[in-house]
Amino acid sequence: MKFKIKYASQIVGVFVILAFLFLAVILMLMGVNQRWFAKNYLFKSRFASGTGLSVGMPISFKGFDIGKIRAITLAEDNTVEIDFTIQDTFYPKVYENSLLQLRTNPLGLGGGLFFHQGKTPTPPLEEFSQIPSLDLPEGREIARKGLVNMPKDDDPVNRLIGAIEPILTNADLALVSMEKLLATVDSALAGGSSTPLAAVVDGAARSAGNLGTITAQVARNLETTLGETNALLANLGEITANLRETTAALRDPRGMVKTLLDPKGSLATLLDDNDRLFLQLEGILQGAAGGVGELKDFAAFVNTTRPQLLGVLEEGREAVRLSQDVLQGLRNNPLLRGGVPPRPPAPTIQTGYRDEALR
Amino acid sequence: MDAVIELREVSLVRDSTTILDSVSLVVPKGSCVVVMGYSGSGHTALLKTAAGLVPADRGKVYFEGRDMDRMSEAELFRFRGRCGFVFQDAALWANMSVYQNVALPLQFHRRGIGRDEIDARIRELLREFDFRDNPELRPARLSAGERKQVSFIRAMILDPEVLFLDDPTSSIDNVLADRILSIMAGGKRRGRTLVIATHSAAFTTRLADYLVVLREGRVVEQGPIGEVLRSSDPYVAAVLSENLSQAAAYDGDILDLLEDGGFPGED
Amino acid sequence: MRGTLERIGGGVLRRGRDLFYATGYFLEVLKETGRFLRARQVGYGYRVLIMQILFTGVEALGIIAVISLSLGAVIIVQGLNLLPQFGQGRLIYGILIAVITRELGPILTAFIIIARSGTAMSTELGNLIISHEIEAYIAFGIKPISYLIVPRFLGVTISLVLLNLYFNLFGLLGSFLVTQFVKPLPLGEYLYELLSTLKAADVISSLVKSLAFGVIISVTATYYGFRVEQSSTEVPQMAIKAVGRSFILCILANAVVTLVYYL
Repeated sequence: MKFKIKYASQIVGVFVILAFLFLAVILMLMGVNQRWFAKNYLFKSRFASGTGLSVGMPISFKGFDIGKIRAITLAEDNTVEIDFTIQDTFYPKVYENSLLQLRTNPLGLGGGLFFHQGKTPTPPLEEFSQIPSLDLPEGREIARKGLVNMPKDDDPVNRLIGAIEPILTNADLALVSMEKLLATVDSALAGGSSTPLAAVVDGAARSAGNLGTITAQVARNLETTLGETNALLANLGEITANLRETTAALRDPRGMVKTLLDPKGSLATLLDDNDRLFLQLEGILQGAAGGVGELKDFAAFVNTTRPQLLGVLEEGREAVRLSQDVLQGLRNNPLLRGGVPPRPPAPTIQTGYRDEALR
Repeated sequence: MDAVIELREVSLVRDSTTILDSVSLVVPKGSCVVVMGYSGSGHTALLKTAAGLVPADRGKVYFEGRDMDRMSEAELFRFRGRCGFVFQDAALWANMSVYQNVALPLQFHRRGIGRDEIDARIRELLREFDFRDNPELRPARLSAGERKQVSFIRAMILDPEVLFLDDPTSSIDNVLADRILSIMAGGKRRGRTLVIATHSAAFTTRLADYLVVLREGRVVEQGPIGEVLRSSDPYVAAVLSENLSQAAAYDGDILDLLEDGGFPGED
Repeated sequence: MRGTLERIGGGVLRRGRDLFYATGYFLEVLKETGRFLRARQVGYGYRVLIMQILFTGVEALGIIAVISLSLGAVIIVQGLNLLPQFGQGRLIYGILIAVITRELGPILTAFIIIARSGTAMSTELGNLIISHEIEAYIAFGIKPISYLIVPRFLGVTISLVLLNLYFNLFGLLGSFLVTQFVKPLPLGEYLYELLSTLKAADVISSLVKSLAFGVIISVTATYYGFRVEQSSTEVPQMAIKAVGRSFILCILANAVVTLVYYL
């Protein structure tokens, strides 16, 4: 007792200091552990809708949480603006052309807000700058141009969607290719034989000195081609039918038809040939300056066939829906639960940005 | 003479028992008022009310004309610094040594005063009251008489203008009582006002200018001591004769004084 | 009938007066505390404060350590046995924090302080009144609230906050050591998980609670101590009241803070 009274102040001092030391250490460790003092870089983005977004929602990059949503506001133009942070350790990864993607997954798997890094390493974007989202045209444009690294997705439905995307891209390419194809086919028809181009080329070589004759011939050929519109349309119909077949194959989720995507596939080979032929043709056509105008008409014609291609894409999306049903059915265990559930008309799983890109 | 303390129609009720019943009292500056009565007549309550320790339930208490209820905190603090109170049971602070008990009022009321000065003042008073025990002891280690002694020293440490003594002679021996009495008389000569509740004839006869006789919280008789002594009220006579006969046995001087037919200070 | 009405009415009025008086008392304590803290001079009150922390805080450390250690160890051992059975092993940290930091830490220390210091304070003050020591303070212009209550108020409140910190120290870390004998767990993992789960809101909620309990206990105990009027039999009566009221008020305050935390 005497001892305590004598050293009361010292004992109380130690008591107080130890307690506060403990508090300080805990707070410090908490701060380090929970990154209270680390710098967070603020960025902005825009989405078409706030559905699925929430304040505090983590932003994921290759499985790591690299930041979170700070605020969500509805902008003047009815788009949804979000402020989000990127942790300082991940900040250098914010290259130009990076994207945000919101995945809402009806199966509850693999959803979330994902960050996709721009393809070419650049110095990190400045703080407070806008990082586009796949929701809006700006982001889709970047994705379409392939400026961003979009990783393969892990859950079955996303994988399915992912697998379809290249098909759709290829369909897009096919459209472009078809222009060339039509030109080539047209020339081939004009030549009228199995090796018409060789003949044309030979002819051209033979009458190298007589440019005028050749020009007239090409012009004639082109005239003939314009008269063959119906045949061309039939030809095109064949191609679309092919694509339809592809989408039909898509209905079987296991056996995705990859031939179209295969760089060694038939269409690609054709296109390769086509390129060569086209180059040759083009050399001649450029010689025949008068025929160039008609080529433009061809292009216009191809444009009119776009609705059919859109139909193909719609088919593709339908295939996705069907395969989802299959998965849902598997998940629900058909033996126990009565199989594939009736599907109420559901919104498109992934906003069909291709729709818009083609429109 | 100016009234230092004045009570107007003061009543005090505790648990539906009336302790003081519209008591009015004037304490002139430099005088000594002695309150008498049998135990339980309310003289302690009267003293505490007059000293502002117990707020009156009805009526007013004035110090130098100021209503104590309306005093500001600072005024009240100054008032306390000018008063001393000796409690019946000494009421020393048990968790402090004798020395600390005496030093504490000084530390509060004489801020800025040095440790040496405090020490000198305490030693002087301890000598004056002939306190011979160790001042570092706690009150519990002292005898009842010594505690009372310390209570006096504590009350006197601020050299108060008004001193309230509640039964000053209880639990002290005659020698000490005499010493205290002479100290009080000296203080009174220098103009200190005294309010005493006592049964002691010595204190009454040697100090009192005014006498108040209480009965169950009511003032039965009050006035200059000569008048009260001549009162015809049987209760007053009983109280006085009891106390004064005790005085005859207690203090030889009283007989001489009685022969003169009056008491000192009576005018 | 009239008698009943009068009794009810009188009771309500008395309660109202008591509440009014108690509120006034609390505000006075706060006012004087502010004055005490502003004074900056090391006086007698400071010494009382030190002693109060010594008696309330340091001397209760042992019992706090024993309780929090065993409680923390029990939670860890039980949790490590039960939770992994349904794949929620990590929940143990959340449970530890909820129980030790947010709930039982503050309230158990409060209960211990009520039992140890609440009774002591109200008894001591009651006895001071009986022995007229309070009157002696008043007679010398020394305000009992600023001189006697403020150091106790501060001492108990500070002690409670500190004891709560110690409760957490022993409960969260000490119990880990105890667990090592039963079910070894790597320290790094334990600390990392614990600190990731512990949120600032938990710490704040815990500190706010212990602060509130300190205020409640010291004010209630001293208030009832001062309610003693003259007889020594009132002293234990008031001590009992002080303990009862402190318990109730602490539990209510605990509920309020917890509700606010989850709002």
